[in-house]
Amino acid sequence: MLTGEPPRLAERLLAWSLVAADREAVLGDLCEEFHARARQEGAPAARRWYWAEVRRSILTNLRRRALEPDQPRRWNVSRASAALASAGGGLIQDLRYALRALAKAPTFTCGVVVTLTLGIGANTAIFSVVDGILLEPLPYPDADRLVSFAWRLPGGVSPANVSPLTFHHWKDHAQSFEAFAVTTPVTFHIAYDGAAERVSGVSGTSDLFKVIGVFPALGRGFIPEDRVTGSEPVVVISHGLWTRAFGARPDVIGQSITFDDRRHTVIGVMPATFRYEPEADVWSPLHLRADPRDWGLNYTVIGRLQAGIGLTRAQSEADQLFERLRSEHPRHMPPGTRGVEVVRLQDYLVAGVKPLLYVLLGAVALVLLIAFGNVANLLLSRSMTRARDLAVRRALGATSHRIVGHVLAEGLILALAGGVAGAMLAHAAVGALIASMPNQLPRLGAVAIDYRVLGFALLVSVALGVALGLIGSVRALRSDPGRVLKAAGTGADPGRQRLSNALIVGEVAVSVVLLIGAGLLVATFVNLRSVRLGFETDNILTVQLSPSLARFGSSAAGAELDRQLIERIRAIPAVTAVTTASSLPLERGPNFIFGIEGDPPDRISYVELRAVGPDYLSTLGIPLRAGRALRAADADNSLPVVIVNEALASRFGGPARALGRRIILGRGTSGAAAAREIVGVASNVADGRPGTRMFPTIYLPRTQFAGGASVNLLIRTTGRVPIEAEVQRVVRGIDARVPIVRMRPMKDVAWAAVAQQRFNMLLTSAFAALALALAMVGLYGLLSYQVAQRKREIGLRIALGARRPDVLAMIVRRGLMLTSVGLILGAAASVGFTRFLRTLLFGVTVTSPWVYAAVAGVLLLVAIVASIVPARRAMRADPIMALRSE
Amino acid sequence: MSNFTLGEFEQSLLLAIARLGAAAYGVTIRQEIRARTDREIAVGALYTSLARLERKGFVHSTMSDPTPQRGGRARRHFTLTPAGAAALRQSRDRLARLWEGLAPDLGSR
Repeated sequence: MLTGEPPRLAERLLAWSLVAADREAVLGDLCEEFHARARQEGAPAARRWYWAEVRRSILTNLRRRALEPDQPRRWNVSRASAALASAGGGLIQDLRYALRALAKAPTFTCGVVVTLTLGIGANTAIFSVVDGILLEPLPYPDADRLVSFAWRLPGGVSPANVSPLTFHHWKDHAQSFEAFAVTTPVTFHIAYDGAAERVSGVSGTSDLFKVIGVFPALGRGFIPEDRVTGSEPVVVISHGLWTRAFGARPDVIGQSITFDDRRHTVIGVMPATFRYEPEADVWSPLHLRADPRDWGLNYTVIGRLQAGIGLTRAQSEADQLFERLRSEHPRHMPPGTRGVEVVRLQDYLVAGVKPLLYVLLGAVALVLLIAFGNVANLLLSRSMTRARDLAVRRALGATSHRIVGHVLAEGLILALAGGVAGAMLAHAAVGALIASMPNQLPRLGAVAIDYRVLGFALLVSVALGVALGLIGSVRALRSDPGRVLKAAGTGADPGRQRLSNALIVGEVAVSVVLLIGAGLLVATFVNLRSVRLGFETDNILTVQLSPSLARFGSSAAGAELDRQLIERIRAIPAVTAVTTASSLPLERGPNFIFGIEGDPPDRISYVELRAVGPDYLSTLGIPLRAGRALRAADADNSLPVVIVNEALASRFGGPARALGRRIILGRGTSGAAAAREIVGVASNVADGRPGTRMFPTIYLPRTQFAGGASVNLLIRTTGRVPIEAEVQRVVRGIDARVPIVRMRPMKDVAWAAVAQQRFNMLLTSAFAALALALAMVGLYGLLSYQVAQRKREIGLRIALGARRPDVLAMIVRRGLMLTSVGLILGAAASVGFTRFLRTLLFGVTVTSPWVYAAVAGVLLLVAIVASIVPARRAMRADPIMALRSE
Repeated sequence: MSNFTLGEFEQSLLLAIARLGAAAYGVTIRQEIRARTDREIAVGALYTSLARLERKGFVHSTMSDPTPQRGGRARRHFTLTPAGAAALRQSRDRLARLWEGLAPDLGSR
C-alpha cells in the first residue's frame, strides 16, 4: 500500500507547536489517521486533511506551550534537571514574550524608560558622590580603626583640635591606641628647575605613619633622632613630588630639597598609590613639648585603635582621661567643654558636608519615588488595555504564577533599561556635578562611578522592576477574567481609578516637599546675597600672594615687602588706592581669644583678627565711626594700636567710649599679650559667617603682628583698563620667588562666599523642578486617560445640553482637587522633613509662610496648565462620535 | 471534588474514554465523538483538554509500544479514573435534577 507519508512540513510545524509531552502521541495519532484516510480517500485528500488539522490546532498548541512548560510529575535527578532546564526556558520565554509586548507599545516603553532613566540617573549620580565622600573607606589599611576627637560643647559636638599637653596626656596614658599622633597643616614653597611651587604638607608627630598604616616606599619614616637640633630638618615627600622635583631618581634619599629657602633632607618617598586625606605632598616631623602654658588648640588628633578595641572602649577611656585633664588643666579645652568624643576619622573629615549630602540623597530619592509613581500609573493604564489579553490566557488555564512571571519580566526589562541608561546619564552628569561643587568639599577625588555605584544602580533598578511587576500582576490577578472578557474593555475599573488617583496625590505631595525644601534654600541664597556687605566691591582687584614664611615671616621683612608692594603698585596709572591684608574680606581670618584690660583674666571671648595695611578702610570704602584709621606710621616700634568694629565697640558702650580702651590678645603665652589701644572704630562688614549677628572683629597693623607671611593686595582702580599683567610684572620685579596664588575681582570673592549656598539652591531646585515636571506629567496623563474613559459620558452630557465651558471647568476642577489634596499632605509632611535643612538655612525659618505660599501658588498654576489640555479635549468631545464609538 | 463542574466538552471526552475502555487513545476518542455528536475536534484542543483532565486526576494515561503505521510512534492510551467516573456521575445527576419534571419538549405541564 503506497499511501505515502504525511506532509513533512506540516508534521514539523505541528511538532514544533506541541508541548514535548504530547508530541509523540499527537503525531502518532495524526500519522495513523492520515494512513487510514489515504487508503479510503487518496493521498492528496489525506494531505489536505493533515494540513487542515495542523491549521486548526497550531494556535491552541502554541498558547498552551507558552502557558505551561512541561511540569515534572515526580522529582528525581533526571526530572529535576529537566525541570531546571524548562524553568530556565520559562524565564527566557517570559523575557522574550515581555520584549515582544514592549516592542508593540513603543510610546509606553519610551515614556517609562525615559522617566526611569531620569530617576535612576539622578540617584546614581548623587549616590556616587555620597559613596565617595561618606561611605568609601579612607585609603588606609584597616581605616575603620582610625579615629579622631571631637569636643562635646554645650551647642553640640564639634571636631576637636587639641593642645600639645593634651596630646602628651593621651599618648602617655591611653591604652586603647596602637599608635597616636597629632598633625597640623603646613604650606611649603619649593623651588626646582626655576619653577616655584606651593605645596600642601602635614606636620605630624613621630607615630603619624604608624597611625595611618602606610610607610614610605623608599627610605624611612620619622624617628625620635630626627629632632636633634643643628642638623638639617627632614621631610618625607609624595610620589608625585618626587617625580616632579627629582625626576623619580632612586638616589633621592639623603638629598637636600629647598623648602621655604631652607634645606631639608629627604628621608622617604611615599608609595605611588598613597593619597593622604586631605591631599598633601610633604610630611615633616612635629616635635611638641608638653608645656602647660601652651594652650593653643592647634593640633588635629589622629589615632589607630588597637585591633579588637571598639569605639565604646576607647570612649570610656577617653571619658576618664578627659576628667583628669579637665581637673588639672581646665584651660586646654574650649570654654564649657563637657567631654571628648572619640569619632571615626572619616566622620571627622566629612562632618561639615554630611547634612548637605544626606539632604541631596533624600531629595533624589523623592524624585525617584515620583518617577516610580508615574511609571506605575502608566503600567496601570496599560494593564487596562491588556486586561483582555491576560484574561484570555487565564481562562485558557495559565497559572497565576505564569502570569506573574510575564508581568514581572516586563517590569524588570523596563527597570533595567532605565537603570542602564540612568548609569550612563550619571556617568555624564557626575563630572559636571563635581565641577560645579564648591571646592571646600573633602574627598572629591574619591568620587567616581565605580562598581559600588553600578551595583547601587542595579539594585535600585531590580527593586523598581520587582515593585512594578508586583503592582502589575496584582492588578492582573485580581480582576476576574470572565468579567473582563464580557466587558471587553468598555467600562472603567473603579479600583484602578482609586489607585491612580492615590498615586497622583502622592506624587504631588512628594514634589511639594521637594519644592518647599528648594524654596527654603532659594530664600537662603537670596537672603545671603542681599546681606549688606558694608564695603565696596566695584573696581577692586584682589591678589593673593604667598611669600615664604622663612624669608618674610619676620615682621621687618614682611613690612618691607608690604611697603614695596604698595609703593610700586600705587604707581600703576589706573590704580587709585592699594592696601594689604592678611585675609580677604568675606574669607575667614584667624580667631583669637581676647580680653579687656582690667577685666578678670578668665573673662575672655573670641574675635576675628584681620592684620591690614594702612588705607585698608578707605580702599574698601568702610566708613570710620570714631577715631582714626591705621597709618603707615603705626610700626612695630610704635604704640600697639587696633581698630575694632562696631560689634566689638558695643561691648564698651558704643564707638566713642571704646576709644582709648586697651585690649589683650591671646591667652598670655607670648608677646601677643601686650595690651593694644583702640584708636578707631570701623562700621561692621559682612565676614562670610552665616548669621545675622555681627562677629567682633579687630583690625591691627600688619607691622605690629607676626601672624604668618600670607599677603593679599586689595587694589582699587579706575576700572577702565585691566591691570592684572602690570601687577604680575610688579610682583615679579620685587621678588620672583613670591608666587601669585590667584587674582580675582572683589565681586568674584563675594560670589565665592555664597558658592556653597548657590550650589545647594541650584541642585535642590533642579531636583524640585524635575519632581514637579514628573508629577505634572503624571497628572496630565491621568486626566487624559480619564477623559478618554469618560468620552461617552461627556459626549452624553454635551448632547443633553451641558455647556462646553462647564465641561472644561469640570476636568480642570478635578486636576486641581487632586493637586490640592497632594498640596495639603505635602505641606504637612514638609513640616517634618525640612528640619533636616535647618543647618543649611540663613534668614528663613523652616516654616516660612512665604515659601509655603509661593510653592502653593506655583503648584496650582502648573496644575491648571497640566489639566487644561485634557480638559479642552473633553470640551471638544463630539457627542455623536463619542456615542458611536461604543 | 463536589464543587467541580465539568464542561460539556470535558464530559464528552470522559464519556468517550469510558465507552472505549482499553481502546481509548487519540484517534479512537476523536472517532467516537465524531460518530456520536457529529462534532469534529481539532487534535490540539483534544490533547489540551486531556492534559487538563489528567492534571485534575480524572484520567490516567499510559504509553503503548510504537507501531509502524504511526511512523514508529507510541500510542497514548487514556483510562477513566474513579475520580473521573465520580465527576461524570455528579455532572449527570446535576443535569438530571435540573431536567426533573420537565417535558422533553420543555413545554410546561
